[in-house]
Amino acid sequence: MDFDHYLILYVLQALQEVLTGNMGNFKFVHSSDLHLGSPFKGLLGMESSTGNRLLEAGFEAFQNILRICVQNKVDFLLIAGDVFDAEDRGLKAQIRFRDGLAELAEKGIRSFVVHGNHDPLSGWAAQLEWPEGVKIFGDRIETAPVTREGEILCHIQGISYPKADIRENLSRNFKRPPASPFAIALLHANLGTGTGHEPYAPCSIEDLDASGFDYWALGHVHKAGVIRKEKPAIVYPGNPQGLHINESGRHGIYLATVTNGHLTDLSFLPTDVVRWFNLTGESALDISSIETEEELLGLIDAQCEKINTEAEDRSAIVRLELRGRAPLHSHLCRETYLEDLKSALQEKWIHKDSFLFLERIGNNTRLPVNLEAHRKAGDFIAEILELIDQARTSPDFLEALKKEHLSPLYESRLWPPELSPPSESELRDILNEVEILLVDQLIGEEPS
Amino acid sequence: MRIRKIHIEGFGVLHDVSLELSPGMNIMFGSNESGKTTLFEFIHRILYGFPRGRKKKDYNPYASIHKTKTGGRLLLEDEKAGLFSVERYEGENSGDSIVTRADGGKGLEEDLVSILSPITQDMYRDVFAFGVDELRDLQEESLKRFYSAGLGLKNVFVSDVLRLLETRSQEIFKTTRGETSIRKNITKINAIQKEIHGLSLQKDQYDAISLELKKTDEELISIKESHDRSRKQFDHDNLLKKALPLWVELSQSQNELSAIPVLLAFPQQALVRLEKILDRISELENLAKTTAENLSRAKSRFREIHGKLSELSPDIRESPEESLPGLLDADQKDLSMAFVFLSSLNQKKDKMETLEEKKRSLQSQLTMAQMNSAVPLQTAYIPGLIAPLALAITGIAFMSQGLDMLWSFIIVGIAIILSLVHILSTYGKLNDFRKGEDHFAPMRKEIDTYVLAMKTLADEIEQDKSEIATRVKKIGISALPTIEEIENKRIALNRLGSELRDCKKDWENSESSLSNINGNADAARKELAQLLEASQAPDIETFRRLAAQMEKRTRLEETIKSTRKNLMILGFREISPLKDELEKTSLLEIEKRIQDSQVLLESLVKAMNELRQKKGELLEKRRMMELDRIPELRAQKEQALAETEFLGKKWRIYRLAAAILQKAREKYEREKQPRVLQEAGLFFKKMTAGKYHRIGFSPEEKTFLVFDYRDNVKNPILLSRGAREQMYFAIRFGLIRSFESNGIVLPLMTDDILVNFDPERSRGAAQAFMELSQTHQTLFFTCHPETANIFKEFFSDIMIHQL
Repeated sequence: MDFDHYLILYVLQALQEVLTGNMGNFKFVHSSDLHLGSPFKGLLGMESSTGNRLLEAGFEAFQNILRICVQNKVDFLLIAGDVFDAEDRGLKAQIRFRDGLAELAEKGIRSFVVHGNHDPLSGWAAQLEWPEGVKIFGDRIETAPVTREGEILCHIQGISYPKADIRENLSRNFKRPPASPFAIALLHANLGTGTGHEPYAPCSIEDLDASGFDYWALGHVHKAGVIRKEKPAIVYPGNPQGLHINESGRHGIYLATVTNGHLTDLSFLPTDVVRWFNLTGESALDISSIETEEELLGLIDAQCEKINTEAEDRSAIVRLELRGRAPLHSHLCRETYLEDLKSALQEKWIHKDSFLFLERIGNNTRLPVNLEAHRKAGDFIAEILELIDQARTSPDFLEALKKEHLSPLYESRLWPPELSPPSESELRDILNEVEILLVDQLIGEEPS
Repeated sequence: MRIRKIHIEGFGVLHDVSLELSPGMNIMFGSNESGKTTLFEFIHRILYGFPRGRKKKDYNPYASIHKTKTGGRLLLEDEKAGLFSVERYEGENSGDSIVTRADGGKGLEEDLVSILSPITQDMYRDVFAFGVDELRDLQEESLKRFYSAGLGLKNVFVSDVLRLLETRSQEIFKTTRGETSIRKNITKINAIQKEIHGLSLQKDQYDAISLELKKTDEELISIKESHDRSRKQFDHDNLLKKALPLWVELSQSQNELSAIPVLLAFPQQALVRLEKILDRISELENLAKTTAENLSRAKSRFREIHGKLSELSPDIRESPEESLPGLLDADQKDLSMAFVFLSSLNQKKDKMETLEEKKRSLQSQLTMAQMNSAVPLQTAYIPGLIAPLALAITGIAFMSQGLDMLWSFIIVGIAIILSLVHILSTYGKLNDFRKGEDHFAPMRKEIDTYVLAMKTLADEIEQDKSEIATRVKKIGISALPTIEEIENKRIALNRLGSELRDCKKDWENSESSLSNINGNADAARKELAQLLEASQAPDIETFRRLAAQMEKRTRLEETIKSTRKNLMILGFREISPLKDELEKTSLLEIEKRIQDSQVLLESLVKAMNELRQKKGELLEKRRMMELDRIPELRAQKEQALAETEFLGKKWRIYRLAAAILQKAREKYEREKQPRVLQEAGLFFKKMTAGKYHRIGFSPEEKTFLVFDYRDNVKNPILLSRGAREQMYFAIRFGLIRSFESNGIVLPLMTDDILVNFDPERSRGAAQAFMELSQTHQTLFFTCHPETANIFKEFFSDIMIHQL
């Protein structure tokens, strides 16, 4: 489109505004949980070149947010906490964040930021000069009007966490500014229960409902979701970039359009640079009909193709699990077999611009033998299966096993505090693998 | 399975031997070398095949010595497969079995294999077919088989699996010190954490650097300001220093100028002009002098030439100088005329001679012609008349002779024609002769004209001679000169004449240029007088003094102008402030100020450079910090954590697997394995008559244990040889019972196993055999009659095969 076209569009837009008198229409982007500077978690066997690309992913997602703001000519950007990953925030992250918002400010797009449990005000803020047009809320509730040509478009009320551990219901302190054309509340908070996140600044839908705001711009929960569409709209945009295997799928921000004081459109736009794919458990790949290694390679490769399409031109990190009574079971049980398989498949995908990183291939296959026969025969295998069943069903027995056999590692000073000891359910999960290992060792075929 | 019949085609010492066996106990009795062991080995090989591969090449002690095929057949009976025979021969195929069913149908190798399959050849040898040597111990391999056979697993020791799991888990982590992958990872994590901690301490430093940078910037600005001020003063002083000599020159010039009186009018470039005029005058005077000398030289030369001419011509000697040219011209003319007459005279003389010659030739011609004209008349007619006459006679002759009339006429005709022609030509010549007589008259007339012309010429020659004489008389040449004489005289006259004329021309030229030069000199003198008058100088001396004054004035004025211009260039447009400033100071003072400023400026520049460098360093330091390795380190840490977590999970699996396996084994040993050992214990108890009542097994040490009636445990190594053999015998019995419970029943063969048993225990053993033979066909090989008798004690219906 050439300049004339833009001009005509602009004039038409202006005309429309004048004719309908809708000078108060505006757009904004709602984002949260940028976790700038956060490394990807729980990744195995990453080559440093791939690792370096992942280091940038969070920042690139942030750049994507900025681009969306500019492309959609929004009036302002909301960031609902956890801009940074750690209390000490990280210098590079702070500088890049400042630079990004400065870029927006130059284009006349304002930014409103609150801090959350990951980056509370008690953390380190480097000596940086912030551009005008960036509003960082303090530890008291503040209200900032957004104006266009002297006319107030909306009010944004927000508060940052003074420290990480905020357990009080901050939402109750929010009061809708009187005579506001559109009121937005900006807060990092855990809404309801069962979000799977720590209950910081806990609140309920009723609390938010009672406040009289038009839009609750929340942060904290990493999965995007519109909790309520209107009166008030309650929105979690989630983090713009998934950070570990449990944050698989699309990640992005919400683009909101307000017309005549009403939220008329709310669209989710993806910003993730690397997408996670978790094909374990129920999504694991059934290979019970696979007889040869070649078929197996073909199957996994086809799966990678599929993921590559689903990733929509992004890079992908894939955790894969194989399941089923597999003729190849004994092969898979060999020490380095899966590692070799992974490297063989990896070659094809890892060097692309939008790479596909096959992070792990788990083996949850069984010997293609009828364990029931062993159970019935009451032989030694039956004894083992019985004991494993007992561990599955009796928490006491499992606990006793854990205490006796696992405590030397998990209760020692050595075990990194960042890693929690295995939970009961995790232990139950690995019983499958214990079963596979033992059956394979005791009656598995000798590898040819 | 039972063996019904044995047929040996040939095997070692045995050949063509057939035996029918009892389904229960069979005592195979024979003395030494009767072929007991050979038979034992035969059955074994027919069931499991001949040794193959490398073993085959070894010496075969059982090759038939009777030149028959090595091998034979067994008739077998199985509960499931029924009756069938197995036949094998050593040979190309190393004794592939020929299985034939009872109904005559071809059986399959697989049938046999499936019956024997749970029990491998080695295991069969170990448990079902053993001699006294095997009884002494069980090899580790056998032990493993023994044990796993009991557990119903593949050939593995649970303890081996346990150890493997333990090793794997310990590779990952163990409580005791030592390199494990988890410890390695944790060390890495701690190192990364330490580095992160170190780097995060830098955040205060970062802020400090930012503040210091700000301070440095302010300092830099203030120093820059004072530097600029000093620089300005320094530049100004430098200008003053340059202006000072100019100023001094200006002042002096102005003073000098005011001392010189003002001259109102003085011609432009007066002095140059004066010198020019004076030069011209002296030059002209010199020229006049040279010209006058030339004039007098020309005059004396003229006289010299005149003298020479006078010698040539007497005329000239007596004539005045003025008429000389005219005289010369007249002499020249006379000489030319004399020359002309002389030439004409010579021509006439030549003409006279020519005429004389012609007259003489004509006279001789005339004489010749008169003689010639009288001769031809007599001689001309004779030949002309003879020829026709002859012809006419010939013709007539012909006619008279009567010849052809025609030919005669032709000849006569020709004769007539020839006569006519002759007559005509003779008439012509007569005419010519008459005409010659007329020709002699003009010739005589011509001779007369020549004589007349010669007379006239002689008169003219005389006249010319007198003309010449008058012409040359006054020039001093003989009256009748030669051409050379006239020519020589004429050339000499001509040369001197032209010299004289040139000389006269020089004379006249010199006279005229002299008068010109004098005129010019007068004009120059007049110009000089005018110049002096114009500059109001009475004389050249005064003129010169005035001109010098004027020149100095002009120079001073120019100096003033140029110094002002230079000062302006230096930036001093107005003189008075400069004057004020310079009057207050001195060069020394200015130079000192410049020096001071220079020192100050240098120190300021140095300070600025230092600050700039410091700023650069701070910026670099800050930039380095902004590179911020922490995210990278955190990513590394995350990966190490993930690695640790993953290893932890593997470790958990190994540990739990080991725990479960251990528990299962304990339980199995407690609940199931004892059944095998119980059976064995019972046999052992029977054989030892209650001395030992139980057998146990230590999987860790892979050793059996025996318990006496007081339940004291004893290692079998400590047992007597007989007791130990009895224990292993009992263990085999226990295993055979456990296989039986799994549906595996194979014939049992023993080779003199009771040799080390005392009679009491032998009886116990025999009893055990008898019990077992109820279910398992037994072939008991022995060479001791008493052993056979022991069995007879218990059972009367046993079959004893005498070999």
